[in-house]
Amino acid sequence: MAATAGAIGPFALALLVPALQACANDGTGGKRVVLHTRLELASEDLASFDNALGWHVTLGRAFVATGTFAYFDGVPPLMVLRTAPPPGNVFTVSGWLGVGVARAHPGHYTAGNALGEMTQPFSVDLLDGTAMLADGDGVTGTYRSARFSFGSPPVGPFAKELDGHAVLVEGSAELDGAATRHFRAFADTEELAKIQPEGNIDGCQFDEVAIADDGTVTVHIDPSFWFYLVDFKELEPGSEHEPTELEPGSQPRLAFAQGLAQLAAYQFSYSK
Amino acid sequence: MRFAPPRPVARLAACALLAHGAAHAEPEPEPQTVVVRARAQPASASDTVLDRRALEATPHRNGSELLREVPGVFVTQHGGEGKAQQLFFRGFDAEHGQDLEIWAGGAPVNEVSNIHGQGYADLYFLIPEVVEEIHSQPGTYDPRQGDFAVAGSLDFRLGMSEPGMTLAASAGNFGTRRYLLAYHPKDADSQTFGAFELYSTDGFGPSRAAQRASAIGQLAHDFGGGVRGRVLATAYSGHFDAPGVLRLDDIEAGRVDRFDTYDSKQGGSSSRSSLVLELARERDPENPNGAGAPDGWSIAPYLVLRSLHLRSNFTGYLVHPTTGDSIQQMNEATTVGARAAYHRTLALVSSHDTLEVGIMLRSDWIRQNQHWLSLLDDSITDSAAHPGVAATIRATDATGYFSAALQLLRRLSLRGGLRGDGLFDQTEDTGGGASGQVRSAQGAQLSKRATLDWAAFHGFHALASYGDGFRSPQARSLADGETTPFTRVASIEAGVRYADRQRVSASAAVYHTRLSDDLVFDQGTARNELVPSTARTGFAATLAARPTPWLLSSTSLTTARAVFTASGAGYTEGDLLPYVPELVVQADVAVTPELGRLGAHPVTSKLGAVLTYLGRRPLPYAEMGHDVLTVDTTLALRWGPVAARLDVYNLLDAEYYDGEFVYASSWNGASSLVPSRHVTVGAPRSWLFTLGLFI
Repeated sequence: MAATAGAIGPFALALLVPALQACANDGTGGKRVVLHTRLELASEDLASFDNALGWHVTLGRAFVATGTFAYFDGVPPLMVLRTAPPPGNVFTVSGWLGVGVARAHPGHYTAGNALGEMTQPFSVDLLDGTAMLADGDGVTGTYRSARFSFGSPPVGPFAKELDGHAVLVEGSAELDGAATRHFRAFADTEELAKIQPEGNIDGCQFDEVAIADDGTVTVHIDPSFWFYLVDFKELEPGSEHEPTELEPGSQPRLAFAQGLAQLAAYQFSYSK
Repeated sequence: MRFAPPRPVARLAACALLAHGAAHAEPEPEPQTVVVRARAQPASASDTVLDRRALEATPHRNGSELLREVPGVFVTQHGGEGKAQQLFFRGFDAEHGQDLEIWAGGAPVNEVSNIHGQGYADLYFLIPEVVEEIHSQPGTYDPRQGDFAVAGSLDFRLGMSEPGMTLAASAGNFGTRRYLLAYHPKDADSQTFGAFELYSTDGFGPSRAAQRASAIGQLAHDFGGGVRGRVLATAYSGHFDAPGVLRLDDIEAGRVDRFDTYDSKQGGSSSRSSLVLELARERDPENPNGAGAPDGWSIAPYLVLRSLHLRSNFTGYLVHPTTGDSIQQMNEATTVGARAAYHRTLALVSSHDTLEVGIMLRSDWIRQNQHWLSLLDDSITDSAAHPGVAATIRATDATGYFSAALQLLRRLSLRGGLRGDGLFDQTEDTGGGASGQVRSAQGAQLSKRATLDWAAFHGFHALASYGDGFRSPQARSLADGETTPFTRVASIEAGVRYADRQRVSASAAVYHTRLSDDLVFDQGTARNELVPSTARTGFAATLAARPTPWLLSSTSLTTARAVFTASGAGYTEGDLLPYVPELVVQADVAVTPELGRLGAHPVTSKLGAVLTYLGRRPLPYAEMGHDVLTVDTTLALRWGPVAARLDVYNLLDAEYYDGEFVYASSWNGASSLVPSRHVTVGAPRSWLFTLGLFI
């Protein structure tokens, strides 16, 4: 009898297992989500714009080699500045006198936890409407900032047009009283790496959202920031068929590279 | 049989008996001295004592693996043969010991504020052959249970029953070799012995080689008048390589072999030496009012010297994209302490009532540091953004407890008591920007424990237990002047247990444990981080039978549902705790028939098997880990002084994952910033053949 009890013990207890498992809930806080990815101009009319030096820029071709995108829960630096507390409290003497509060490193960006990413390089024609990129992986959570990166070497449908560059843009620039400049601007990730660590654009704004399900992340690119401080006046006029390349070391080339590294040029949003 | 039948006596009462060596019948057996020590009354229905026969039923390669016999325990090894194993127990991921109080031979094994993890408990110094008994106390129901007794306590008692000299040599696959030399005088009790072990292996894959040497000697002496003394000395050292983790997606995509490693520089070394002295006079357990002493006392000072050096890399190149994320940790500790108790019979409600008062004191001197290392040239790559750690710590724990056992009615008894702990920590940073800064913190905890025991009929008891306890924090985390913030635990259990003259025993209990806060592996920082309060609810059952002298069978099943009881740190109330297995099943059977006689000696045999199943291991993001099912077997033959044994581990060659973790990493294969599944691979089928000579 005792031996029988001992022998059947494992099997008797094993019978309880399915019943116990059936009662359980698998939630451990959050879940994984699939994030489809698309890329488009921040606004349809951004094919032409005015820059800070008064040049009216019109884009004819704009190819971008995209790299990986990553999404974080850290507040982006631009948002940190916007949400900084007011300088004084009217209910304190110092506040009433208008004495502000000193804060070390205002706007310092900390990425925080990575919540999602898209890791497949691609290439897009920015002026050809919305482009669909590879799906990304993510987990549920509050998304607040992002990393944009260019691909090197370029892959995808416009790799040939990019000719090894991370970005290639052709267009014209006009200024009252000056001849129209036809230009070809391009940059490589090596140039960007001199401006941003490893060429990654860290701290881009992700419109804050609590993601709980699969959805689509849209990358909005505003190329006007790329040319914001580019001065075309020293550039040879060129022609539509033979545009003038921005020479390495020249102000237009350096300003263009600096523009590519601007956080404001890339904004991310989520939709279900 | 797994359970010691409760006896109406106090703990550790001793009397010497002459008995025949039943386990190894000889034609004319010489008399041996066997000391029978009465066991403590169980503090709960699931209180368990594993004796030598139960431990011998299945194979074990080291002291840590003995824990696989303890109901509800599951052990994994994610850091190489030499790093303390990861322990899971009744709904707790006790990591390397943070939730499990462990004593061995009268000395504590848990290390206070170890750099690698609070309560780090390395059991590799134990030689399996000299572990006589493991006492498992789930929960916090005994006033003697102290720091780290959150999931429960384990007490290894050392002894050896095989008389004379034991010489054994083992060889196995993967270049495994083991040598054992042991001695136990025939006319001494089992607590007197000496043992030495030498072990080496190439491991079942790259970066898995290990070596260790261990020596344990113990002498027990009866001074007469019920006074006994014991001296225990141990020395151990080990060196090991470790493969570390692999990304599961890399394995599944075939980018790495499942036994491969990303970083072959991982591993470490460990050493431990200890000395325990014990002097005790036992109260006469059978006749408190008779000729024997009505009271008893014990004092047991100890000294433990420990060192640990680890090098690991969990995240690849995530933090340091160029030089890699190797982390070197070093911890050296000197621990001195003592336990002392006085117990006596006092007729309060009945003539069998007993009282005990005791003190425990412990002081630790710790020197520790942690640095980032370059994978390129092993240089230190600490930086302001990712600093290293260097500190010296003085930790002191002073404890007093009061325990009583009252026979309220003929069949109803009440056991319990109060325990007070005062902990002091002083930390001096010896490196980095805070070098020279000293912080100290003090805290106290009063714990209440009680067990109601109803002896319904012969051998059948119903028990209800309550206890609260604590876990101390890492000293380095404390601010100067802070009142030490203990993790407080409260636990209840109700159940029944039955024992029939050691032939059949069984228990079933439900339990509920609540913690004021908890520690959970964090995928962002790749270490345990503080999380909100949690609760565990579960069911534990055991069934064991020894119907004949040659058959032993036991089974245990433990379920645990561990959930958050508050929201915070990314978790919501009601979420399951990640990494805590919900189901652990252990079943083992051993038959030891005598096959006949050959010449002057009988031929005895043993065939044993143990099945271990781990099910439902929740992981972050509503995922479940892989279940684990392994079967280990042993086949042994003995003819007089000669024995041969073949142990086979993972007989079914199951491809399982020992450990599973979720966090971000960047390796040569796939790189992902998003938390992803990482695994440590369980060992494939392996065998070890042993030839033994008993002289």
